[in-house]
Amino acid sequence: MTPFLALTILIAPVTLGYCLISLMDAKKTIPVTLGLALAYGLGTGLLTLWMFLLGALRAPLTTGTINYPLATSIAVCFLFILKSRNKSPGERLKYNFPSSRLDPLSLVFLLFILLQTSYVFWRGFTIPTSTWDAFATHTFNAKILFYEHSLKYLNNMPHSNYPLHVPLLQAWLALNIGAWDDQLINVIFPLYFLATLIVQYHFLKSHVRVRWALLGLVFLVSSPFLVYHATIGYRDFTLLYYNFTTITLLLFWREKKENVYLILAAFFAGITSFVKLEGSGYLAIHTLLLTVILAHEHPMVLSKKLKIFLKFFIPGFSVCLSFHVYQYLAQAGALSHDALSFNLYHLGLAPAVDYVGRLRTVLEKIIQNLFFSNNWNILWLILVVSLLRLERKNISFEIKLLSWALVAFAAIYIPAYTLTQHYFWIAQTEASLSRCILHIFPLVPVLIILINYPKKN
Amino acid sequence: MRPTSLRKITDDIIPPLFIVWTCVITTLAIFIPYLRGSTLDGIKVIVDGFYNPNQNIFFPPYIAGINPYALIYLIFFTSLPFLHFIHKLRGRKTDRRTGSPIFATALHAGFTLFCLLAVLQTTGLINYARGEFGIFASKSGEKKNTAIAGKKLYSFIQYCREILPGFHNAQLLTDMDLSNDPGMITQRMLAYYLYPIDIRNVRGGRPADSIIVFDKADAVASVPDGFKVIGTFDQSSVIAIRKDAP
Repeated sequence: MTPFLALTILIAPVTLGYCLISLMDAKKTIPVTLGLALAYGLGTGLLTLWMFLLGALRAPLTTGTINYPLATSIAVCFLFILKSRNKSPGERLKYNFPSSRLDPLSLVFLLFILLQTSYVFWRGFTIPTSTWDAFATHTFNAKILFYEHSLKYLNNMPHSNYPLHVPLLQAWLALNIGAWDDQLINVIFPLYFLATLIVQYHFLKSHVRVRWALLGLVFLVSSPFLVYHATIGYRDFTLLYYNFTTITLLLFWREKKENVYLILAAFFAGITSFVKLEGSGYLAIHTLLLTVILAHEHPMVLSKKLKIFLKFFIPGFSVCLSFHVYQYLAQAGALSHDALSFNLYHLGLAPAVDYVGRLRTVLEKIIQNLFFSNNWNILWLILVVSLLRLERKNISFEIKLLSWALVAFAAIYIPAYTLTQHYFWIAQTEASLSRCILHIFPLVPVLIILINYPKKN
Repeated sequence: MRPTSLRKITDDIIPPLFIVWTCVITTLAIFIPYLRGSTLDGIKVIVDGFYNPNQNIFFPPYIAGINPYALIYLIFFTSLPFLHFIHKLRGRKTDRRTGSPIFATALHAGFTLFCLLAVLQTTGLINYARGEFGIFASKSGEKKNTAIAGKKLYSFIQYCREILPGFHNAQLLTDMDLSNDPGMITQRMLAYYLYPIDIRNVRGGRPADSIIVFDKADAVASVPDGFKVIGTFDQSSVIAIRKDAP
């Protein structure tokens, strides 16, 4: 079977996502390509949340129970769009092609980006399930969900406390294909890669010229670790997409003050927690970032700030809590508690140990990873030089916020690794640190571009 | 953006590139004698090593026991004083942001080294992709899975699916060490490919209706009482079901 079958199936949730974005974006501020990139995350996120709700209510996971509501939702959205539209039918879908041609340097950047992108898509569409965690955990769990059509065995599935966005999406794809296909269930991952590129491009283009935005993408795809992870079906790249998109949506909201960005940011932040357990911590960081943004909105009254905060907090935390409450109440007695599992519910301070020594090891491992591994090219060095080059008066709010986001992520991971039983994962293995850094890596090229972009332009 | 004049290229870009590339070539010239085999083979090994994929971390290709990134930082930091000296000699304007040319110089050097690494990593990626293309392009799903799992393992999995179609709760018997790789990943692969034959007790609490013996000495003898062998893959791998199964 060709990957195009799976891509065709994915049109449905993307259509739902795009319809919802169109309805929310009354002033048409979101470009079509950005809308599609966001629609992918929104549509697939809503789909898996619906499947999780069905599973939690012990309803069967079949094409009927999932697709009929999906199709109905799309139809209802279309009706609302037709009703609310006061322009002619063709205008909404008009796409404004860029009027200026790319200069030679931009073309070189574009070719490099296309080379990496074609590798991601070729690999994602050609090589079936082939990696450790896919066999052991989430793709195996997806296969169980496909065959069992329910969450009834969730408690016995490997890493049963891990969120379910990716396994549910893969199971849905297989249900619609009609059979389990080791290859086709992985086509979702290159699409996360493409969506991330589009989101980053649009964010940078709203602050810098096209050549610099493309340079930002060059920096992003120059990380061989990031490019490889976009092809291997781990949940880390999915988490990267939702995490990075949430932060950019918050910054878009700050700039444009349109509700669509805030609501999308809330939803994406919630789905971040439904992709991997670390996402729950990232949700807290997203909330903190919004708080910082609101604190800097000086003309805005406190009641309005509170309303905006709740518009983000309620949807985001509802999504997060729904999974954790279900896990803790319905499964708590039998949750697996093994050393190989990252377990949010059994975090504990490691008693009577040398915390200073641990901290030194953690910091050494981080520095080794950032500057001496083959993961990130030398982008972290360039970031450090760029930050040293920064003058206080030239620090824009975006640069400050993104820098604080990096600090906030470090502030979660360094104590978590130093103080808890998960010190093992950083001291004794290479299994987790690079993947944690991957989740926040897109902030690095964005910061480098924003800091070094000549103000005169 | 104002067009880049020839003078800007000669003043701002060529000197830092010249210095950085001089440092790169000098470093390579020092270490090339340490490369194993012929120089070209040695260079190919190093270049390919810049794309050595691993889901947890990309290890750098050590050159004569030295981390290449240490060399890169050596080139970076040693080129800075040269560039700074050249800027001073020419009486160049200071960096309009920090009042010092050193950071602009550092960015030039950093970007040059970034490009060098990007070329190395992309070359390694292309070589790696060519290898994968040969293995996976235009192959059927079964051939691809065979390439991933290994011929013996995947043939056994296909055999099991033929002999035991449908849903089963199976117990895996093996001499492999399941607490470490390769035994651990082999067991995970078996569990994944065989499902809905459940060997990881996902449908917990139900007694096993079948036994899957893989890679075990005296496979037939290891089948417990109450089970009968219905398929023999090889001397170390058999499939058995309950004697009282319908």
